[in-house]
Amino acid sequence: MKDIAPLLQIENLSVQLPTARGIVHAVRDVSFSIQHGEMLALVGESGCGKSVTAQAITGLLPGSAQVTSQHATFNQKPLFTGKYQNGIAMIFQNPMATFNPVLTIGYQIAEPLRQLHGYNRKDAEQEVVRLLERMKISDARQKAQCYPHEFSGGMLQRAAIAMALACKPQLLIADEPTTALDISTQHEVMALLTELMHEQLRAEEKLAILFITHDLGLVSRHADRIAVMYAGEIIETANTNDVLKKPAHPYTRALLAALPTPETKRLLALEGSPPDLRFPPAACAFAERCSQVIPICTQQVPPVVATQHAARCWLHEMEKT
Amino acid sequence: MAATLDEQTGNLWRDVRHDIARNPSALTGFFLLLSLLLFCTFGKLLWPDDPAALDLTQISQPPHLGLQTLVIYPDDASPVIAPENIHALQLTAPAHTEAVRLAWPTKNTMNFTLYRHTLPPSGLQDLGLPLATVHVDSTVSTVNYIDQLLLENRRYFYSVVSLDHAGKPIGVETLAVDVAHATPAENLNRHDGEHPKTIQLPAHPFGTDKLGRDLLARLIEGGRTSLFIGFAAPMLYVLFGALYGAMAGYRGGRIDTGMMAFADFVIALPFLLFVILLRIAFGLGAGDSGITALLVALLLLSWPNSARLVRAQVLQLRSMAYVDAARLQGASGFYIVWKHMLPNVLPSILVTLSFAIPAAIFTEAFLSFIGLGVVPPASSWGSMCNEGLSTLLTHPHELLFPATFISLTVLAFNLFGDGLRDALDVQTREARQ
Amino acid sequence: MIHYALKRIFTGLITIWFIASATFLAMHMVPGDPLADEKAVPLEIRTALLEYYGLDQPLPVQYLRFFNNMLHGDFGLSFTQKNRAVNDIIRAHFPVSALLGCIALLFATGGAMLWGALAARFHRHWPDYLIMGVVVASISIPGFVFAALAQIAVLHINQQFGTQFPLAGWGTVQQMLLPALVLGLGTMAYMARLMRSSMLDVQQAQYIRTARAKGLSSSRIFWIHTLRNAALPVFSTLGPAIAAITTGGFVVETVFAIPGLGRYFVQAVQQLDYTVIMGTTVFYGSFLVLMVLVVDLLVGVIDPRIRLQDGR
Repeated sequence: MKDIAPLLQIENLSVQLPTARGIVHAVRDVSFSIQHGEMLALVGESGCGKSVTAQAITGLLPGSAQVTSQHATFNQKPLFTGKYQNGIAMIFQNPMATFNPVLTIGYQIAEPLRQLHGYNRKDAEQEVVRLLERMKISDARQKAQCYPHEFSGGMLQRAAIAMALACKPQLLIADEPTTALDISTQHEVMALLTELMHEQLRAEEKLAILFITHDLGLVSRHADRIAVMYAGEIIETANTNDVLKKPAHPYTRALLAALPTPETKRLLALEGSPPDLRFPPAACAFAERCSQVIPICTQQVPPVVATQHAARCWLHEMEKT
Repeated sequence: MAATLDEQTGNLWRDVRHDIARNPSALTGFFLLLSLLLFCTFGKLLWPDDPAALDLTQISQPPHLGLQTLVIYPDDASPVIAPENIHALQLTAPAHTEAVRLAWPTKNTMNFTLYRHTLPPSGLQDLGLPLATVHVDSTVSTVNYIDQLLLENRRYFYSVVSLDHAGKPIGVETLAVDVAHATPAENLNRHDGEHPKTIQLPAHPFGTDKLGRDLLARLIEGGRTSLFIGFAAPMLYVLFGALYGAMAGYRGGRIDTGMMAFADFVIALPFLLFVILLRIAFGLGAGDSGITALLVALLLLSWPNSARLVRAQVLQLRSMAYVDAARLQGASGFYIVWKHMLPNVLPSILVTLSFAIPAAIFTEAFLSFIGLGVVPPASSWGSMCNEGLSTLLTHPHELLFPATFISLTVLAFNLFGDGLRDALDVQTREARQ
Repeated sequence: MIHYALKRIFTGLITIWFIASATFLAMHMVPGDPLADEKAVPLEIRTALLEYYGLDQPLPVQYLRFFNNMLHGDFGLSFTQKNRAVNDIIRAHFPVSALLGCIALLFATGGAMLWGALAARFHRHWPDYLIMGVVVASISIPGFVFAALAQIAVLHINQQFGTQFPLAGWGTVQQMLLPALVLGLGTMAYMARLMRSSMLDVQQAQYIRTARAKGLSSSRIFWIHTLRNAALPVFSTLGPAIAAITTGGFVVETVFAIPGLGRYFVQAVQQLDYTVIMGTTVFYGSFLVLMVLVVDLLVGVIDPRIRLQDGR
C-alpha cells in the first residue's frame, strides 16, 4: 500500500485559536497521512487538539483561527483552500445536534445528493432509502419522513453516517461518534463503520476513516493505525498492533495502563494535568508528568522521524541511536 | 452538572458585580437609575415649588431661568409713532405679549389681509389662514392694527398682503417682530404701592404647562407616582409568581399541572380590557384616578410569567444530585428550598424584576396617556404626556420632558437588566461547566 | 396535533367565556343601576336598554340573556351615539383598525427579521452596535411618544419644505404608512432583539456545522437552515405582538385621528358608554384569544417539535 500516494497527507499542521483569554496553540506541528481504505484512529484526552485537527481538515474552524501547514494534500490536491473539500464527510459527537430539528431526516440526507451530485428528487429519495437500509434502519421509507426528535440516539447516529455517505466521500472523519451513546449502541455503530469499510473495499470504492476518540480500547479492535495526540502534538504513530504491544512513548504506556483488562485490580490514573496550550512548553510537553523524565526532556523538544513507528520522545530517540 | 453551582452562589454576586462594573452600558444604566431615584426622592428639597400652583402670568412657557417681564399698567400710554412717518410695515410701539401695534401705509390699496407666522413664510401660496382682514376707505393713508391674540414672547413674522378690488393679492410685505414678555399689573397682585417698569418672574428650568404649573416640580412629583407604581406592583407580583411557581414545581404531579393550567389561563387574558373592567367595577368615571384599578390589574394578571420561569427552574433543580443528597440526609423541605433552590432561582427572579419594572412604568404611562390612569391635579409622567398632547404642535416641551423621563427610566432599566442578565448567564454557565 | 389543537381551542373558548362573564359582572358591579346615574341617556335608549337587558329581571336571567344576545352577535345600542348599534360601530370601524394593524405587523416582522439578521451577521461590529442601539432606544420610548414625535417631524418638514404631508386622518396611503410605522416600531424592536439572539444561537448550532461539512452553499445554509430555525422563536411571539399592536392602536388612532375601533373604544371608556365598552371588550378579548390561538397552531405546523408535545 505504501507505494501509492496517500489519500490525505498533512505535514507540520499548526492551528492557533484566539480566545478571550489569549491565543491557544491548539494544534502544534502535526504530521500524519491516511491511505486509501485505511482506518486511522486519532486518540487523546479531551483538549489535546484532536477535534481541532479534524475541523481544520474539513474547514469548519471559525474564521479567526489561524491554520498553517507546510504541505497538505487530499487526493494530491491542496487542502486548506478555504473552500469545501469534495470527498471528505464528517460525523459528529452528538447525533441529536447533528440534524436540523425542523427538517425531515430524509430531506437532510438528500441535500448533498441533490445539491452536489445532481440527483433529481426521485433518485435522491431512492438513494436515501438505500443508504438508510444500508445503515440497518428498518422501515427506511417511513423513517425518512420522520423528524430528528422522533429518532433514538443510536438511530440518529446511523442516519448521520448515511448522511455522510450521501456526500460520496473517500475520507470519513468521525469525531467521537460514539461518545454520546450508551455502550451497546457504541459497539453497534463501530461494527457498522468497519463493515462499511469492508463493503466499500470490495466495491472498489475505498473509504478511509479518520476516527477520533479518547477511548483507546474502542479502536484497538478496528483501527489499522493509531496516532496518539497529547497537548496539540502527535506523540506516537504506528500500526495498531505495535502501539498496543510495544508502545514507545511513556504517555501511550500510561494510556494503555489505564485501560481496564480482566487482570487489572485497580485502574492506574495519571497524575497531573496537561500543559496550558496558551503557553506551550518549549520542551517535551509530557515531561512534567513523565515517570522516566531525563534532563534533556525539560530543555528541548524531542524530534520525530517519520518511520513505521514514530514517537516524539527523547528515550525513543536514544534507543534508536 | 451543577453540583458546584450551589457552592458558588456566594462568589456569584461578587462576580456579577465585577462583570457589571466592567460593562459600560450596564454601568450607565445603573447610574442613570440612581440619579433618577435621587431626582424623585430629594428633588423636592432642592426645588420646593408647588406642583399644583397655577401661575397665570406664565402659560406654556418654554424653559427659562428667570424671565424679565414688562409690567403693563391700565393707564399706560405707549409711545406711538406719528402716522405720517410710516412708509412701510412697522411697529408703532415696543412689541410685548399684551399687544403688538402694527402700522403700514395704504399706498392706494384699500383691502389687506394680515398674517402671523412663527417661521418666515416662503411665498404667497402658503400663508394659511389670515389673522385679520382689513378694509379702509380712501381717506386713510396709514392702517393701524393691534394684535392681542394669544401672543407669546418669541419672534413672529407678520405679513401684510395688499389686495386689489377683485380680492387678488398684488403685494406682500413681511416684518419680523421680537415680542417681549409682559404682564398686566392687576395679575401681579402687588399691594406695596410701587410701580416698577419691569419685574423678574420666577424661573422655570423645564418651563410651564398650559395652566402655568411648574414642569420641574410636576416632573419630580409625577416621577414619584410613576416609580411607585413601577416598583411596587412588579415587586409584589414577581414575588407572588415566584412563590406560586416554586410551589407548583416543588410539589409536581397533579398539583403542578393544575396550577400551571390556571397560570396559562390567566396569561391569555387581555390586560388592558381588565384594567377598564376594573375601573368600571370600582365605579370610576372619566375624571377619577385609576391607580388602584391599575395596581390591582397588574397584580392579578402579570404574575404568571415569573411563575412559569421559577417553576421550570425548580423542576430542573429538584432533579439535581445535590438536592437528592440533601433529601437523603434528612433535610426538611423548607431547608432545601431555602438553602438550595432560592440561591439558584434568585438571579433569574432579579432579572425578571429588572424587566418587569420598566414594563409596569410603560403600562402606567400608557394608561394615563389615554386617560385611564393618573389624572390631574395629581401627576405622573404618563398623565403629563396626556396633558402635553393637546399643546404638542405649539409647545412640544410639555410632552417631550415627561416623555424623556419615561424613556430614560425604561432605558436605564433595560441597560442595567441586560447587563445583569448577561453577567448572571456567564456566571452560571461557568459554574456549570 | 389534532389533540393539541382541540385542547387549545377548548381553553380559548373558556377564556372567551371568562372575559364575557367578567365584563358582564363588571357592568353590574357599578354602584346602583348602570343606567340610573347616567342622566344624559336619552329616554328612548334608556327604555330600549331596560327592555333589552331586562334590568328588572334577576341577575341570572340577565346573564343568560346577555349570553344569548352575544352568541347571536348582538351587543345592543350605544349610550351616547343615538340609535347606533354596537355591532354597527364594530363593523364600521374594526376594518380600519385591522388594516392599520396588518400593515404595522408586516412592517414589524419584516423589519425585525432584516435588522435582527443583519445585526447577527455583523456580530460585534459597528452595524450590530448601531442596530442594537436603535433597538434598545426604540424599546425604551413609549409608542405615544413616537406618535407625537412623528407629528412634530411632519409638521416641521411641511413648514421647512412647503410639503403637504398629512398630519392625521385616514384614507390615503400616506395617511396609513406613518401611523403604521409608528405602531409597529416598538414591536419591531422587541422582535429584532429576539431575532438577533436567535440567529446567534442557531449560527453556533451543530447542525449548521453539519450543513457546512456536507458542502452546502452558504446561501442555502443561510436560507434553509439558519433563517428558518432562527425565525421560529420570532414567529411564536406573534401572538403577544398582535396584542401589543392592538392596544398600541388605541393610542396611535387617537393621536392620528384615525376612525378605527380603538379610538372609539377609548372614547367610550372616557364617556362611560357601557354598551360600547361591553361589546368592544368582548369583541377585542375574543379577537386576541383567537389570534394567539391561530398563531400557536401555525407555529405548531412550522415547528415539528411542538407536534411532539401532542403525545404528552
